[in-house]
Amino acid sequence: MVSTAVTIAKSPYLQEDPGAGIFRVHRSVYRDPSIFDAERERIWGRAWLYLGHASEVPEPGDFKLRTIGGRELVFLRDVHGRVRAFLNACPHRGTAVCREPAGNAKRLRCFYHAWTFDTEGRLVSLPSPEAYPVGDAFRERLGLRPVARLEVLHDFVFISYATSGPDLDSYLGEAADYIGLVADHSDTGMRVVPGEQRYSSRANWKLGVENAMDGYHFAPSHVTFLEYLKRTGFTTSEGGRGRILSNGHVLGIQSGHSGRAGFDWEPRFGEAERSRIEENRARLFARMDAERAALIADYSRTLFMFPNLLLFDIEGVSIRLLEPVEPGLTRISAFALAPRDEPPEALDVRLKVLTSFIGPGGLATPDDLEAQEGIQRAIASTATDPRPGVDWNDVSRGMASEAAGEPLRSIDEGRVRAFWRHWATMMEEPEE
Amino acid sequence: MMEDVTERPIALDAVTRTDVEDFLYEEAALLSGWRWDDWLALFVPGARYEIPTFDGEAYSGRVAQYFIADDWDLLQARIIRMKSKQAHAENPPSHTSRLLGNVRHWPTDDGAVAVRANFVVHRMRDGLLDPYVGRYEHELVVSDGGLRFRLRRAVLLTESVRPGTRLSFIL
Repeated sequence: MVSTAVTIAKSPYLQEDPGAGIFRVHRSVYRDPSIFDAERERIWGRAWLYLGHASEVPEPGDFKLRTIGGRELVFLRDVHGRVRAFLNACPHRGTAVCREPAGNAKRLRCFYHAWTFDTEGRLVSLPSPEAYPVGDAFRERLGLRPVARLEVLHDFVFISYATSGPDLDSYLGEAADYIGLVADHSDTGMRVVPGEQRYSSRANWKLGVENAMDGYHFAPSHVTFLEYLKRTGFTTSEGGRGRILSNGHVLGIQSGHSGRAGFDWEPRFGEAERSRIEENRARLFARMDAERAALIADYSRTLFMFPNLLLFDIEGVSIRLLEPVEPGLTRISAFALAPRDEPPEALDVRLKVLTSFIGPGGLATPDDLEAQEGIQRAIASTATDPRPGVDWNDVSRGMASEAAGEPLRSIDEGRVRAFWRHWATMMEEPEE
Repeated sequence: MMEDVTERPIALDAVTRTDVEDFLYEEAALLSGWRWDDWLALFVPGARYEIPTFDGEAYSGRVAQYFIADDWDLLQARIIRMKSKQAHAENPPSHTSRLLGNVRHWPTDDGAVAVRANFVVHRMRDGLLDPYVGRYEHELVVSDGGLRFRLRRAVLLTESVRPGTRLSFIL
């Protein structure tokens, strides 16, 4: 068949031809430093980005250093209890103001010249101020630089480096509902459990997105994990749906993929958890309508919020943050989210089952990293191949059923295509 | 080799640093040699294998997310996986060189031997070499066969698990 491939979203990096069943992504998007730099500006400089969970800085003065979209931030709760984020560069001469990864402080002092800021970012003292202009204007001009915008949804804290653009609600659209389902796991609220899994992969950040939104790899990649579940007495179901949301956000929905801590017992949770789960389910169903309660209790979901948040509501709840460092290097953080009132024994089970899968020491994530690093390494070999089609990745699985309007299957690549279409739109939109 | 060390019965109060060092060196050799059954035989049933996260180290495994928090079941599952050709992250297997030092030990209140040792483990794979620097915080018990792990804990001191240096092998 002669290809009538069309370029969509005016992107030279994507080719889509539904009639011919062609969808491909040019491999330079994973390798090319100039594309990486353009992403910094057009995606990371404009989109809403996940920063952290408010429970990570529970007390006034609590702070954490976190790099988001290439910029190091002080994520803190001010003395009045409001969550804020400042660029961690002193407005004076640019030194890192905060050099501890986490802590509690009523004042942030830059050691270089001892300029001191309060938790609202105001410059409150500096040595020998008499050599500066008299009046407040000077101090007001030189406070800590906040991020352009910060909004909080169900304790999930989001920032944007762009002074204009859609507000968080319109940016998230339906994705907000799925964050709400996670927040509703407990009427006492959710908290990030201590213990951030901080690791990295020698692979482009978009390979991390593709991997999480692709159910096709699950059986072949994670056969040892599936065998482990089977030995514990649990058989996973194959089914699973995908949903394409707005603005590049995508969702996977599964039932029977695994048990769910607190809601859906499986043998490796142990007998003691069985009765507690029954009580916990009853509590959930008592405080909301049955349809919503069933959605929360019985279905596993993986939400990707474009561009940096993966919210796994699976065996347990895991928040995964993607942070591009270089075209071939991504820093990853994984946080466990749990009900505030979860008893220690139940939390123990939750952390065990979550960690058995998730993270660089899990029985599954290392295979995902192996795949992504393998791609990053291997696609160097096709970069200069003169033959057409060789330096492209194929992402066409399930195109016909997608075109026919059938529900997306998680084992197809429809969600990966949705990610790429939005990526291309962001990259090609003219500068504002 | 292994038998010489583990078959010698020792009384708890007679455990010497040499006993502990011999145990750790032989264990390192088993790990570098991918001898999983022999390695698992160094544990008493019910033992744990843990790698805390960098900010989770101050907490116990019960209240903090770790990189690895294997109970006895999960540890056995991990070893079944290590032996599988389908454990893609370790197929082909990585090679490790393990240096141990600064070994100290003392008896615990409940009849075990607390061990502290520094490690530098180099992992070679994909043409790359990644160092892992940290400290062991083990709890050993004296069994009929010699020293055995009740808790095997590796504490990483790097601030992040570096690029590519996943924990798919035994640290």
